[in-house]
Amino acid sequence: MRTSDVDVLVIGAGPAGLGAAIKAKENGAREVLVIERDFEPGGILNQCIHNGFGLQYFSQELTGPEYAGRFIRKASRSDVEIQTDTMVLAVNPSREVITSSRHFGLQLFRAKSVVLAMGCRERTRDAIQIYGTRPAGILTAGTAQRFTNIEGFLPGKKVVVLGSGDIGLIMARRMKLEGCEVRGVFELLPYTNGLSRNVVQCLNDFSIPLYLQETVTEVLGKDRLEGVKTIKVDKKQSPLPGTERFVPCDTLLLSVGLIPENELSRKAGIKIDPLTGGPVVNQDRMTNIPGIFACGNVTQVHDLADDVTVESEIAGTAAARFRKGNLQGKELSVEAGRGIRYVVPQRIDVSEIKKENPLIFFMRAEVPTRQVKIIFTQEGEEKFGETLPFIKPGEIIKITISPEMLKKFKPDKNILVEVGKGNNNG
Amino acid sequence: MQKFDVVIIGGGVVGCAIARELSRYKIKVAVLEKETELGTGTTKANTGLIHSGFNVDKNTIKGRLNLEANPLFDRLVSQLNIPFQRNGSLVVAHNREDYQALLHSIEEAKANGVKGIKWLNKDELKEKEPAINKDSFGAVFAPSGGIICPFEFTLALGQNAHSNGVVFFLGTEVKKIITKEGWVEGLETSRGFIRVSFVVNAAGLLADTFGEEIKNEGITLKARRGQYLVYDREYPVKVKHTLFPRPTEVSKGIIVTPTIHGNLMVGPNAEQVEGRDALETTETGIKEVLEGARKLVPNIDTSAVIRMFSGLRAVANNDFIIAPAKKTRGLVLAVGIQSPGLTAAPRIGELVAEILKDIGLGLKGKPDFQEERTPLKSPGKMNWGERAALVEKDLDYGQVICRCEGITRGEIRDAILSPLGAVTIDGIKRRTRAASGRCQSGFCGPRLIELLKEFAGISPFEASLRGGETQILKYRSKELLLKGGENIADQ
Repeated sequence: MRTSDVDVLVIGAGPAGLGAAIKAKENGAREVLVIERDFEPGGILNQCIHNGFGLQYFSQELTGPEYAGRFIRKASRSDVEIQTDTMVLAVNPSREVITSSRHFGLQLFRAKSVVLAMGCRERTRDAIQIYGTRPAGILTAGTAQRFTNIEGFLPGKKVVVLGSGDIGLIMARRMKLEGCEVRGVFELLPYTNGLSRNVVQCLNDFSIPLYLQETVTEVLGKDRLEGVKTIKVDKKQSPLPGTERFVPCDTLLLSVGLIPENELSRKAGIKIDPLTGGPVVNQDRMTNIPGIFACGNVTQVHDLADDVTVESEIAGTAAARFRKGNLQGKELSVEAGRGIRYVVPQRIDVSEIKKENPLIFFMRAEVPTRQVKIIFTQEGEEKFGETLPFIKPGEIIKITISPEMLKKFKPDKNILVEVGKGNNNG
Repeated sequence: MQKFDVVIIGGGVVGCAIARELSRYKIKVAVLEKETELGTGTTKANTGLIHSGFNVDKNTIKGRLNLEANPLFDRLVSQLNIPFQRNGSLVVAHNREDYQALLHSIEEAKANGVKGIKWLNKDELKEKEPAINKDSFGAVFAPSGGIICPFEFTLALGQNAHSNGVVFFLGTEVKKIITKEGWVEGLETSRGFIRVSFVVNAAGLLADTFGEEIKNEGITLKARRGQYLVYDREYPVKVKHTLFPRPTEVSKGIIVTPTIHGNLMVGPNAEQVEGRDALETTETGIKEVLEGARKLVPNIDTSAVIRMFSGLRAVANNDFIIAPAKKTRGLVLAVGIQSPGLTAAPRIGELVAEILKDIGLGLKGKPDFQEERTPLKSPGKMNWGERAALVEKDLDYGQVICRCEGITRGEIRDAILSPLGAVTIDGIKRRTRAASGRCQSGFCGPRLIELLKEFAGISPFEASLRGGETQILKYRSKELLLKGGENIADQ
């Protein structure tokens, strides 16, 4: 097996991996190697041919491939090596990485630091228990997107979308643009899971009906999908008898959740946060294993590639600077409290509080709420608060705490992040 | 016109076991299978258990064959080179009444020659199987119970038979058995007439559909459906043994078991269904399965389900029918093969050969019979050194196509190009496990379609889940728009 040493090894050449690799290089790492399983770098962005990328990071509206292209070019100019068509088979806590490829066979890399940037995958039909037959025509929205945008095929022409995640909304519009009849987007919850702008631009602008609190319970059709059975649900998501209907279709696209891909992480002994499905990380995006970092959708499922880039730059910078000796050790934990589903980072290095850097916290709300104060407390005492006009689970909340404000925090007490009392659910 | 000594109708585990057995002899044998792949009926959708023979009635054919077949598996799997594990069965008692009944069965099982069977008290059970319901009273431990992949087993039997000269006609439907003066003369099939003097009906759920000759035997089959759930291999709820509740008169009950590939699986329930293709899963069925499973392992939920499926068993009466037909000479029946058909299959093969001999087929051994089947390569099971060496020799084993199960291009190529190779996505899946993991082909689906084209010449529009009308792709991008455009122009 060919064995080599590298400074930073990044797993995945999507926006997270590329962002981390470039930053690692800028911060002094000499050899930065990105391992990518697909034939091209760019990750899922290559199939996201719609626009809407880069508004925050580049202040410009780009398509997915354009957004990825900027990082691919930059990586190449910065001498970041990208090995495509190569799969990572294993990572161990000593940061040894084994890869397999059709071109190089098996290789062993010894890395000073590793950045996990494997992205996420989609939940499937069986994961949400849709009963019925097993006909052709049921696909996850992302797989349908790949078929349509990369391979050049359509799975059918009468489409039902289940789930209002962003990919579902984007694909509802995409199918309509392809000349398909899009029967509607069905969502179990009383609100959409995607960005508000996608609801407007993908559904409203194309007169695609959105059915909230209505879900697919069963699929029909022996070989080919012939239709789905749907039912309305109440606020507790209990089915309402008598509201069943049959919606004829030959294609069912599922956009029912994304799950961070952490199989490699788990095998390496990395601690996973059950709330995010990703590794527990500190402010540098370092996992519980020193020298192994994680960023992008492998850490938490983001809404925007721009946020992935922000997070990857944090991880890439820290990965380049990582030396075994520079670990502080003492960390306090950041926990999600009332009204908050999760917070990233989940840990803070105490010495960080004394530094002159702001800290960005990513979090998701549990329910849509208007006029909310998000508060950071230690031992029940409010240390920081920020008021937001509106929060909803489908849109990530980012709160930046300045160095001055950070100084108010005690260095030895855990932080709880919660929605302040007295907010009205909207 | 084709001519054979024996034709076996049905390429499930029973048909393939019979084919392999007959391939030991100097006769011309063919297997006719309606579907384009082997093992797509009852075979593909069952629990995958090699039953210990605990609690069988040895006066029934199915009971006797179970007892006789179980010990054959160690040798058989080493010949066929397929994974098999005697993980042991635990039949769990929930109360004193169960306990009394099970103790009685232990004595019977011992008398029937079931090896190593014994009673475990509550503490011993808990130690053996920590996930077990803490209210359990104890369990019968039958160490000879095992797990196997039913499809792999069937394919291996088929491939071994094939390499010993058996001819397989896939995608070939039998319409009618043709007789002359009470003797089998041939078969009318979707590919024309086949002349043959001996026919074995191993057609599973369709065994009663080949015309008068079968109707005359007075066989009526019913379909019994069982539903299952399969879990992600990373699901923390795990069992080592196959856990059964105390069996009832009609069924072995809802089981919790590991699969040979390391997934947790639960099921089946037992429902009488109309027709022969009611393969759907239902809310009631799945709930029943979960309830049953939770009696054994209370922590089971639905958080890591990767697949729900349902399977049908052909039930004739309460027993297998393995016998020469009463009214048609030359016809042998191997029908009504419900549970424990998978376990009994090797003995069914031997029994059918004996019956054929009894009714006049001359069976002379083949000196060059090859009992070993060369397995497909499996880089994921190798250590790093072996794997690196394999990839060095053949780089196709270096490219991982299915990320969930770690299946390589080389393995998929082999699955397509090997004898009786895969021609559908399900075919690739069952041979290699590609697409059977947590993403359920979300990522590798497009690649598998490409590989079917590259190695089998199947166009992307023909690529299907399992043949029939199950093609995955229907149109080219823009095709609908162009068609729509024409329509608009027409108006």
